[in-house]
Order: sequence, then structure tokens, then C-alpha cells
Amino acid sequence: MASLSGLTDDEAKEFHEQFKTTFGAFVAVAAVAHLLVLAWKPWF
Amino acid sequence: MANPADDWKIWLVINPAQWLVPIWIAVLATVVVIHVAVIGGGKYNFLAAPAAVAAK
Repeated sequence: MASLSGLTDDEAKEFHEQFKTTFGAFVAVAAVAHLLVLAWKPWF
Repeated sequence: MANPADDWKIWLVINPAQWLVPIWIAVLATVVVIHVAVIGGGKYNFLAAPAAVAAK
């Protein structure tokens, strides 16, 4: 049965692995930025 | 259905070939709004704040 997006299960899983990697890198950069701001001026 | 184990199924609903760039644009718009709010807030205006280290 075709999915709504047209991707197969395998294609969706394959893409999701890359999506998780890229999103993880984005979160890591944001975490470092927040730690630097915390060192500069704690907000709590 | 359990998350995050089944998170990949979102790509059975939305096609990343069509929606990945719009997702990036939405994230970028959110980033810009947050940075404008932070700079506008004054306390964390990292553009106006003097670079204490560089000033020496």
C-alpha cells in the first residue's frame, strides 16, 4: 500500500536517520550557545 | 505506535523532497524571531554589549 508521502518504509527510515543526525548537530550547536550565554549572564 | 521509535513514520505522511526546505525555512524564521527578541530585550543585547575581554 503506497504511503501518503509516496515514500516506502525503508526510504522513510533511511531519511530519518540522516534527519536525526542533522537535527542532533543543530541541538549540539544550540546547547553550546546556551552554555556560553549562561556563562556570560545567567538568566535564573 | 510508540515514540521516538516510530518517529520515522512522519516521512510516510510528509515527503521530505517537498517539505524539508519549508521545514528549514520555518526553523530559520523561528531563529530570527528569537534572536530579534533577545537583542531587543536589552539585557542580552550581545551586539551593543562591550566585549570586556577585547577591551583590555
